[in-house]
Amino acid sequence: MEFYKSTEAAVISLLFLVLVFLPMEKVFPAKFKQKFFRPSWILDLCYFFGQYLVWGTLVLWAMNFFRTGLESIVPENFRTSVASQPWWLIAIEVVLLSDFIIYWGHRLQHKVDFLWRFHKVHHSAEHLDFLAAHREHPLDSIYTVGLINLPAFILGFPLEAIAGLIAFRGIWAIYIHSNVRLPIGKLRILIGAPELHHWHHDLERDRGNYANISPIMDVLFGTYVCPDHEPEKFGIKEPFPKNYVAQMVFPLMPNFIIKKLFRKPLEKSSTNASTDL
Amino acid sequence: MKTPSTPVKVITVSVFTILIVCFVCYRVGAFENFSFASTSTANYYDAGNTQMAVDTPIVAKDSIVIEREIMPSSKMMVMPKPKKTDTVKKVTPVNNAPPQIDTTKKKPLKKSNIMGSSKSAYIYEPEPDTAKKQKK
Repeated sequence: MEFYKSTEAAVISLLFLVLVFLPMEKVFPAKFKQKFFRPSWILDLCYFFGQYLVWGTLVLWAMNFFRTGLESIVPENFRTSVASQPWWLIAIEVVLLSDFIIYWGHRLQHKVDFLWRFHKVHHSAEHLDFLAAHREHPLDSIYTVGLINLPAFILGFPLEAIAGLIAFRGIWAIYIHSNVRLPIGKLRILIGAPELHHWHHDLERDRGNYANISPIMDVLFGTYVCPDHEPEKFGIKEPFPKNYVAQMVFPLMPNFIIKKLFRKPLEKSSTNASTDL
Repeated sequence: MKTPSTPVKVITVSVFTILIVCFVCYRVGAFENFSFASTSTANYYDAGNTQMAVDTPIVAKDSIVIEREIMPSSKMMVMPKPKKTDTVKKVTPVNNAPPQIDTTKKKPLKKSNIMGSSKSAYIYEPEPDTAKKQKK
């Protein structure tokens, strides 16, 4: 029964996303030649359903565990002094701190090889649209969701109080992956835009634009990139499997096993961007 | 590829904006007042001296649980008085004191209680089966 309900929720969500983003992708396409059913569409659909039916629960469980652990560390006096501030001030603090932490956390994901192992699952997408946003390894999700919620957990701030803002940020995170290029001018500095995030998905691992939503942190720390055209190709330069199960397992494998098991295919595909394993 | 005309562009952006606003409103809970399951809009009928909500099972003031069994009229939602066959269950109160809430117990997080990933977010979440829980 629970599985049926989750499936229903996933299907309703998918239909809503199609309704919201498909017209935009048709009328304002960033890449004109990209079709709705583009290569790896089924793979990204697997990620979408995987997130709703399986991994979402794991992430929630991890967050509960994480929050309980933090509660025992953070002194009660600190929480009381934070709670004495007006709620809107705490909300601003939570959002700014979250943006700051996720910016540096995301930068680390690109710098540190261990984190990149998991994060490159998301970057392995060679075609970006609203569905590709869901391509994410569950451990990568735990890392990002943990970081983004860290200030709220420490400050003891109930996020239901800013539910609207969180909902907006959530759907905007999907929007910036969509195949849309909308001329919004300077507003993109405040709320972000797909073209900025498309450059983040460029083949270069350290291209920039790490702040997924508002690019203010990128502007502050000098990683803001905004050319007037789209990147030629998305994806990663490293060889990477193309099926769902292999992509889930690949980051968990030690390097020597990867080399032993997949030596031939990896060597063979070293000239290409990715490989079928 | 033919570039869409300006009216088509304007309509597309408008529809997109409206849907995003509707989604945010839905997540904030703005549509809960329109839902039949909401307690705030539930219609009441007079059963003796006590008003009772006709909705999804709700514990009324005198601890009587009523299950919704029929659909309301398409024009209004005034419900008939319960007959003997109506499933009205008497819940024997343990005592008259209000139930004690353990404030030390933290509620487990729900998807909507946390900020989603910076890459994606949950759009629609299934409602918990409150009816079943209340029956228990």
